Amino acid sequence: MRTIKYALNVITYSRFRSIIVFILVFVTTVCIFGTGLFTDNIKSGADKLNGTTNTDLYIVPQEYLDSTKDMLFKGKACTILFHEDELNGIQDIQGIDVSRQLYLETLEMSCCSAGGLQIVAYDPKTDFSVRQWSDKAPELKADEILAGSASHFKIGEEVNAFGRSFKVADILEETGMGYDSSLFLTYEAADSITASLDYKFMFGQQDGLVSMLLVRQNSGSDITSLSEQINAALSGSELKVYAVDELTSGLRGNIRMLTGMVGIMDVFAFIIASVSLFAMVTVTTQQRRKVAGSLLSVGCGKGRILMMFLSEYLLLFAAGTVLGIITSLIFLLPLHDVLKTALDMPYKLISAGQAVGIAAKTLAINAGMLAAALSFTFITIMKQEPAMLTGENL
Amino acid sequence: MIEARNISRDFGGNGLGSTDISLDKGGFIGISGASGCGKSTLLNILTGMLRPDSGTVLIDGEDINKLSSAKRTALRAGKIGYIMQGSVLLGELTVLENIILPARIAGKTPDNAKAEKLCEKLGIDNVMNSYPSDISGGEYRRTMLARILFADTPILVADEPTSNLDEESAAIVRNMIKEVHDKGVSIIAATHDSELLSLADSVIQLHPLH
Repeated sequence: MRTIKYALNVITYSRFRSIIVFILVFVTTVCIFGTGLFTDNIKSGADKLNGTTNTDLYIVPQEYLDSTKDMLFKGKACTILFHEDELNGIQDIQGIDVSRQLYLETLEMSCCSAGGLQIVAYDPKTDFSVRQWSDKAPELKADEILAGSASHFKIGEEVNAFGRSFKVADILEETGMGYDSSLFLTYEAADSITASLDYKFMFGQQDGLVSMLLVRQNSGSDITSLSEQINAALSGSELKVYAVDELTSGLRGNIRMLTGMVGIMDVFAFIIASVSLFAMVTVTTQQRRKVAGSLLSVGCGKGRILMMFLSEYLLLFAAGTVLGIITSLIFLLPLHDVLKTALDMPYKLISAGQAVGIAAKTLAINAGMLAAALSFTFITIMKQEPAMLTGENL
Repeated sequence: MIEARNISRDFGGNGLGSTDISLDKGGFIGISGASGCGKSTLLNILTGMLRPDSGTVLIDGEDINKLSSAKRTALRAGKIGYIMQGSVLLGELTVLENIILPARIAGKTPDNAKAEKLCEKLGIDNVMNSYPSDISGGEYRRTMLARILFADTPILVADEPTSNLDEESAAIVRNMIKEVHDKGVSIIAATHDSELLSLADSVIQLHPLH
């Protein structure tokens, strides 16, 4: 306790030095933890691209490929329509499960409190994708809706879309995709909308509309040959089959570029901050050579002197590290949805355990930096004879 | 108590030539000589703050140059109060906190009343709660003396304890040294102060190395 009290005295007495050390620790922490968390969230979103939808192949109209990508990975609402009859050719293909989805962009009209959102219709009976994020998905009723994790709806809330009222049955787990800002309803409900007279101008008063067909192979057959088989079955149609890698390749390039740039800036800032910190600890400890010599002259052991010096830096490092972590969390957590939208790419919050791992890594790097700077300086000082430290005129 | 034989330390032409010194229990040795003749070097060697090029230093029969750095530090804590010329107070602690610091370091519960009484005797009771940067040079030197006296060591080694002090402060320091000597503390003081030297049982005159 006395050592801590002494450290607090030193920090209060040498305010300027303490503030500089604190700021440098804070900056290195934000560099390591903040950007680590940010890039890991992007990577977490990117890692999910292949596995999230539990789908091997997507069948979409060729001309709407970009809209599909934007909807799936960036959350940009769109309406894509083709009739299910166009899929007749693939009915005979064995060893696959298929599940259709319909994307409807809600109109910003007075009848629609959910204006601007993406509505995704799915068939609970054949679905193998949405059910991964909600236990309610397989048994969703026609007057119910599932809300994406970032759509800000609450369970039990009434939502009006396309002139109909739906009750939010569940909130989906975060997917890291455009689905997070979407609402999910049944095909039964979607058919009743598209077939209604009210929306004839949009959907031609017809049911059986599809935006995308999700294909999952269950026979262990080769995806490439399966893809060729489907394309052959769809020949002459505007529809084309895409493997998930084809949909995500451009996006992955963007992610690599962004995380690379953030990483370079992060390393650059980290090097500047850590070198400054190392220099600061070294210089300020060197300035206290006389204090060390004086303490040795009155019988204070080297270990005790080290503890006196160390405790001051430990407090500053602990405060800077904790505040850096908290600031990063304050910035990244509440702004999660904003960042997700602004980034225009998959962004999924990593687990608390992974975040704790990054925090531990940050703490270890900061502690290592302090230990290196202080031990280097301290050993250099203590190698000298005590009388030399005080600057005695010998 | 202290027995030094043929100790020397050369700093490239300056330093201490071969010197013998013997301090008995309760004795008082004055060291005089021109600047640069090795007075501070001698005191630093005697207190284990500096290793000699040659010779031996025995304190209570123990050769301190054969001790580890940690043991020499412990020896100073228990036996030697040393007022160095270049010694400093900790700027972050008050005068009183600086005085009781060695006791704290030794793991003892400091007797604040004793420290305050010491401050009173040395005329620094009015600045006890001030920081070193806020006190005068004389008060600073007297605080360092108080810090050493508070530790109650059987040996007091002082390097120019009255230098750069006004006459009043110097007199206070001299009186205090005399008082502890009268109580049986063994003293070695390097000084140009003839009044202080006059209190010594014997005076060793040092000469420049070259």
